[in-house]
Amino acid sequence: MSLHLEDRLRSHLQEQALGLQPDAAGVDAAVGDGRRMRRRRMALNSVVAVLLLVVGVGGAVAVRAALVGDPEADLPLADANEPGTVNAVGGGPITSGSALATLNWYGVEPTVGYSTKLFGADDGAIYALSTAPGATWQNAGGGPPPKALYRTDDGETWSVTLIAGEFGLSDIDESKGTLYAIGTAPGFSAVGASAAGFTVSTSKDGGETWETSLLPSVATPPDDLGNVNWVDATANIAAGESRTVAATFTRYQVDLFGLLPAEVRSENVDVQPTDTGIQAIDYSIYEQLSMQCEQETAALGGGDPGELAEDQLPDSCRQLFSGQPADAIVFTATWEELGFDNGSPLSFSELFVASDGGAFEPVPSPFRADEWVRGIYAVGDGFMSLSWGLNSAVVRFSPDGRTWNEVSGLAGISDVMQVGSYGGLTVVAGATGETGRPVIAASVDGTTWTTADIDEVLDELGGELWMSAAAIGEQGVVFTLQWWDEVAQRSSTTMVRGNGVDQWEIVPLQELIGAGDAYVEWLAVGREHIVGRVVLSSQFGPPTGMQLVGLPSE
Amino acid sequence: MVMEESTTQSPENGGVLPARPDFGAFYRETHPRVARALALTLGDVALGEEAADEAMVRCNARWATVQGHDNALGWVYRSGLDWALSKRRRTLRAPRFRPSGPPVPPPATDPAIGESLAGLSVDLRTVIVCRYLFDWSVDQTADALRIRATVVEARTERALAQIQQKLDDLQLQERP
Repeated sequence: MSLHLEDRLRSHLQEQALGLQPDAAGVDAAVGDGRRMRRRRMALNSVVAVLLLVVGVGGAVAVRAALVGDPEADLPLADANEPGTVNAVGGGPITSGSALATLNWYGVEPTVGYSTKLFGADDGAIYALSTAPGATWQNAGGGPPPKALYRTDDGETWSVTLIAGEFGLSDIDESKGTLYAIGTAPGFSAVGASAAGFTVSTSKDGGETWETSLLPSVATPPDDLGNVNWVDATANIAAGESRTVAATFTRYQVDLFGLLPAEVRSENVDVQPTDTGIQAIDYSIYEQLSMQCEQETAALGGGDPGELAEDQLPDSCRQLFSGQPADAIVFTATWEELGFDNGSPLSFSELFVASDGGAFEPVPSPFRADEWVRGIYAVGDGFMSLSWGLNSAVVRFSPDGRTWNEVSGLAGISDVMQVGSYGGLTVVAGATGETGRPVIAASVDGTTWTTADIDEVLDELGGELWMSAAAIGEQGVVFTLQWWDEVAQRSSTTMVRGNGVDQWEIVPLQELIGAGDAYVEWLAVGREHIVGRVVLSSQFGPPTGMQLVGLPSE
Repeated sequence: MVMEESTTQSPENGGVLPARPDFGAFYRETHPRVARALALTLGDVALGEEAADEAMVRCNARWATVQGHDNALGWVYRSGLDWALSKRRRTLRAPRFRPSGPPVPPPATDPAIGESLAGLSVDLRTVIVCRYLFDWSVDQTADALRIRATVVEARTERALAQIQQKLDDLQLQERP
């Protein structure tokens, strides 16, 4: 993925938009209907005013908020976690962290743009996987632009190695001078394939030459299941001190409707896979619930049920909005009942571990097949994984790559941005789910977590802050915070660096980039430097880039 | 956005201040843009038009508030999107129930990109439309959709990764 893909997207969307000539009901209709909507709201407020006299101010305010469901109303904010909070799973809080080296910061012309992967190598270098220099979608001959591996040892100058060969490259990592790349096997086609294949390639010369081996994946759908229409195959890899972990995900899309009994099949019925088999949904139930929902909402005073507060939703609406009312499921069957021995033949999550440079062997995967795994990371004393479940991030820790445990009570962090190691600690950077407040948590063993005290930094900046980039490595924990500047009427960005526990400093980002609207696209931490890419918005032209470099003072 | 402006007397300072555009000017400027964006987001031209109409009604009903928004276009877009998704949840979960037939997708000018976009969830397509059709920054997108910037970034990252994967797969498919 590259900026060229973004250009292509932008061009496509704008051409499509220009090709559409939408019909409009007209401004008169909007004004007339808007006037009627205002009258309905005023009538509802009159009812609330009566309630106010009856139940008192406090209760009535709550009633009004619930009845009106005003989308403009601010949501109540939960308290942020107290600094120093420790997970209940035994152990004590971390009271102090390693000392940070002082860095000098400066800006240079950028070399590397958008990168799909950035990582620090054991020899201190920083690698970035991006498109090859000069490669664009336009000059790639119709295919994806060639990729290249960029390496910097000083944070400023980059060497470039083209990734040669037919890599269906998904992920890349490094350990002790060896690069590990994982991807789909040469010749793999997502369309109509009966099986996916994954390879791990290793390079000991910085990506010039590669040795490739096939992973022992068994992610093959059973025979006679039906036509495979599509195969989604993705993979992640993490190289640790003595072990390498590879995770693969294979999802087959087949003709499930053909598996339904004849009496269930109708134009109202659709079929979906479940964890254990299939289920058929009768969508006419949704129509019935929809009518019921509208009638019950009208009884509450009308309006759009989508604007009602959750606790005010009629049961029919709640069932409808749940996405899957129980009555709508008209048929379920396990794979065994359908005659297939394999328990879950459509989605496969597999995990492989190689020890001390040996061959990869399969181990039980902790990932559900419907998770989207953002990355697997080698940390000081094991591995961590970041994935997106249905509604929030899931973090897992493994001491050996084989046995994994979901990290619970991670200091309230539900939106994880980055994990890594610094000063003997495993550090997680993210935000709380309720308030979006940035949080840093550190752990000695990956089980017990201590929240870093960054309140002083956050309070100094003030306002509602959110984390927009983060990186963790041998020069510390570095992250960016953004907030809305009411005075300047634009977002502002600052950068914070610390030891993950008790030492934090604000990096003078604004002094480096000058006044203006800017954000940090990515950050990476090496052994002796930190680099980042800043994108500066321009009112009069396309955005420009700058590379930040932080080097230890002499 | 270029909109018609008028001037008005400010009782506070007695001076002449630029006034916000009237609703008619705002409607003429904004409706086509919102309708197009919603059509591309929802993958359905008719639903996009209907949602834009509904959003404009709500906008008019709240014009006193909305005209003060820094990104009133974003307010209308999100309002239309909320309405369309609510409607789709209620009655359009199975498109076959639509008396007018299946949704009419927008024409694809770059078929590979069009197919890749069609494979995205609405959540992901929404951020793509905000970022690359409206050309909004991460913050502007977050503000318009009322989600955190980190969520915008994560969804953008996921969407681009899925689009790239699909493009790669399509390219492999085209190989002899």
